[in-house]
Amino acid sequence: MEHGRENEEARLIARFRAGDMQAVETLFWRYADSVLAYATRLLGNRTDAEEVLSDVFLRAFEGCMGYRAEGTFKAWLFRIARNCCIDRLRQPRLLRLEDGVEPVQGDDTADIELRVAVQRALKRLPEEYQTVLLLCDVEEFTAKEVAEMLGRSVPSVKGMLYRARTALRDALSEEWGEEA
Amino acid sequence: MKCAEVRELLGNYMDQELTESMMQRIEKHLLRCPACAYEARSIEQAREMLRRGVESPMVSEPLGERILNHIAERFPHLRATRSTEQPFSLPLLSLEDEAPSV
Ligand SMILES: [Zn+2]
Repeated sequence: MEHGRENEEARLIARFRAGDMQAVETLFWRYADSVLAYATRLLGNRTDAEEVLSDVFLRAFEGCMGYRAEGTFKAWLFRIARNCCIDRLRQPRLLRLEDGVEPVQGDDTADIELRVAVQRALKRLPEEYQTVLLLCDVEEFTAKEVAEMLGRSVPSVKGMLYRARTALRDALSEEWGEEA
Repeated sequence: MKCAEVRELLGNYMDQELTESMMQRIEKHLLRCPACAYEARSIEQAREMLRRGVESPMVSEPLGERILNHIAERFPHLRATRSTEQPFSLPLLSLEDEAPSV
C-alpha cells in the first residue's frame, strides 16, 4: 500500500515535470495542511508558518525538476520544511512574531490550556528533539525515514527520540504544573 | 531484568519493536517495578498529550490558491495548464474584456 502511494506520487511528479498543473494541485492539497501544521509547531505561530509554506513547496517542486534523493515525496517535503523553519528561526527575532496559540472553533478551555502547555513545553526542547517528536510521534514517520531526513543513523534517531520523549514529559509536567 | 536494561529498551517497547518474548519480559518487569512502570506510563502520557495538544491549522482556500499561483509563475512550463479561475464573476464585462486566446 505504501508502495502504491509511492508509485502514484512518482507518476504525479512525472506529470508535473511534463507541465501538468493538476498534478501540482493534487500534491499540494494532499500535504499542505500537514506541512503548515508542522511549520506552525516548529515556529510557534501560524503567521510565520504560512509565510514559510510557499517557500517549502517552491523548493520541493524545484527539487523535483532535477535530481531528488530516494524516499517519498512527503519525506522530501518535510525535510525541506524543517530547513525552511530553521532558516526562519535564525532570522532576527524582530522579524518574527511572538509565539501564540490560536483558538479553534469548538475549543473549550481545557483544550486551549493543553495546547498552550504543549506548545510551551515543545519550545523548551532543543530543535532536534522537537523535530523527532513531531516527525515520529505526531506525523508518524518511521525512524528510518526520519534518519534519512536528518542524515543520521536509525539507532541514533531512536536514541534521540527516547531522550526527547523523556524531556517532553519533564517539560510538560513543569508547564502543566505552572498552569494549574 | 535490571532496571537499566529495561530503560534502555523502553522506547522500543513503547513502539512495539521487540520480539514477543522480550516484550513479555519487560511487561513482567513493569508489573513488579513501580519506578520503571511510572517511567513508561508518564512518557506514554506525554506522547498522548503531544498528539492531542499540537496545533493543527489548515490551509485556507485563498492561501492555497496564492501559493499555487506562485508555483505556476515560478515554473513557466506549467502556465499552459493552470486553470484560470475568475475570482469575481463580472458577467457584463467578461464578454467584452475577454482577451483573445493566444
Ligand atoms: Zn525497574
